[in-house]
Amino acid sequence: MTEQLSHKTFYGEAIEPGKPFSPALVRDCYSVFACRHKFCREVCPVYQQGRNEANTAYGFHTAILVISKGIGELADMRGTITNCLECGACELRCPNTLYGGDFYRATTTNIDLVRKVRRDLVAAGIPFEGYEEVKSVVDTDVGYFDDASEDITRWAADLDLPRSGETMLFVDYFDALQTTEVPRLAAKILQAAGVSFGILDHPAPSLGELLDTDLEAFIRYARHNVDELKKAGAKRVIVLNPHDYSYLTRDYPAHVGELPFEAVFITDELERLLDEGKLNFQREEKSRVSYHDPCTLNKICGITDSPRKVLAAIPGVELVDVDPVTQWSYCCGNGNASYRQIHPETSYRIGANRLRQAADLGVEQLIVACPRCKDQFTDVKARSGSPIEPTHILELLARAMGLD
Amino acid sequence: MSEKVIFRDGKYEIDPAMMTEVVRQQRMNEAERDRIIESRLRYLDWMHVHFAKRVTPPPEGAE
Repeated sequence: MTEQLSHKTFYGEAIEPGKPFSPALVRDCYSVFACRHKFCREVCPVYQQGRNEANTAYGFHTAILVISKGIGELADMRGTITNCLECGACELRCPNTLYGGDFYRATTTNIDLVRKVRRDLVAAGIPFEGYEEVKSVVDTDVGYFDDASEDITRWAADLDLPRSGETMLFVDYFDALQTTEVPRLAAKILQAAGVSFGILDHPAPSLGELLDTDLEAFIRYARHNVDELKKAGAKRVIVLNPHDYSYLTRDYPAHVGELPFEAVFITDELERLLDEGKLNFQREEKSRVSYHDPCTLNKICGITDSPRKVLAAIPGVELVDVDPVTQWSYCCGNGNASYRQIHPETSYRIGANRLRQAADLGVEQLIVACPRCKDQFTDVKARSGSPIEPTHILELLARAMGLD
Repeated sequence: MSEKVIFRDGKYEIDPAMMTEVVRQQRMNEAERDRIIESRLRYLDWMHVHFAKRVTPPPEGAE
C-alpha cells in the first residue's frame, strides 16, 4: 500500500501580502540560496532555453527569501513562478536531495514550492500570468465531471469492460477524451494477456493544474477517485498516465492519506506479464527507436527500467538508448501541469530540441510512455517538420501482438 | 558509529534530534528514501561512465 512519500508541512501556511513569512519556509529557502553550486540550472530544460537564472529552483527559492525580507512583493512572482515545468530535475539533482536528502530527511522540493506560490498568488487575488488559460482547462474537465450524463467511458464502448474488480484500470480525462487510442490499446493488451480488470464509470478530474490553482478541489476529487476505486473493490489500480501515477503515489497520499490499494504503472504491469510469458508477439516491428523518459516517471517516480525492458523484448525493435540520468535534463516541453498552456512558444522549443536530440541518434521513432508527451511531440513534429515519429509504447506493443 | 547517527532498515540517517532547530526534517517514507539512494547510485555510475578515463588503484602497500 502507498504511504505518504515526502511532504513539508509548512508549505500549508499561505504567503499573504503584508504578513510575516513562516520562519520554517524562510529557513528552507535559505538552504537552497546558500548552496551556490547551482546544479539545478544545468538540468533545467527551461534554463537551457533562456539562460535566465531567475527561472530555476535557485532563483525561485532566492526570490521567496528576498520577498520575506521585505525587498519586493509577492506580486513580483506573477511571471517568474510560471517558468517551471515541474519536471523534478532540479530537486533531484540538487545536492541537498541527491547527496544528503535520505540521510538528513530534508530535500529540495521545488515542485511543491512552485505549486504553493502559484496557489498563494491565486488566493491573494493576484493570479500568476496565464492563469486564465490554465483555469479554462480546469473548468472544462470540471464541467465534464459535474455533468452526470457526460459519458467519460466512450472510448471503451465496444470493449465490454466491467465497472468493478480487484484490478482496476485508471483512465483520466486526457486519455478518455483526447488520446483515446492509449486506453483502448491498454485494454486490448491486458485482455489478450488474460488480465481481468474494470474501469470507473465517472472518475473525477486528476489534473495537475489543480495543484497549481485550487488544492481544495484537487483533494476533493482525489477523495472521490480513491473512494470510487475502493467501492469498486480495487486491490490493484493500473495507471496509464504517468502524471496520474505521480499524483496517486505522491500527492494523493500526502493529502488524503494512505491509499487502500496498490497503484501500478502500466509498463510495470507489462513487465510482469512479459516475465510470466503472457505477452504473445505475432510479428516483427522492424524499427530503430529511442526511448524518451517522461519526467514524471523518470525524475519524480524513478521508473525507468520497465519501459526499456518491454521495448527490448519486442521482436525487430532496435533500441538506441539514452540513459535515464542524461535524460534528467530532457523534457518534451509539456511539463507536469500548466507550463504548455502558459508558455506555448518555449514549450515548443523544448520539444523541438528533444526531437533533434532523437534525430541525432539516427532513429526513426521516439517511443514515449506518456500520452502528454505523445500529444506534445505530435504537435511539435507537425510544426517543425521533424522526421522523428513519436509513438506511444502501447502502439508499438499492440502492433507486435497483432492487436492494432 | 557516531551517537549523532542512527541505523534504520539497513541505512544510515542523522539522529532526528539534530534536526529540530535550523532545518526541520520533512515527512518522508521508505520509498522516497530508496528513490534518492537509487538516483544517487545511478548518478555516480553515470559520472564514472562519462568522465572517468581510468580508475586509479591505491598505492602499493596501502591497506
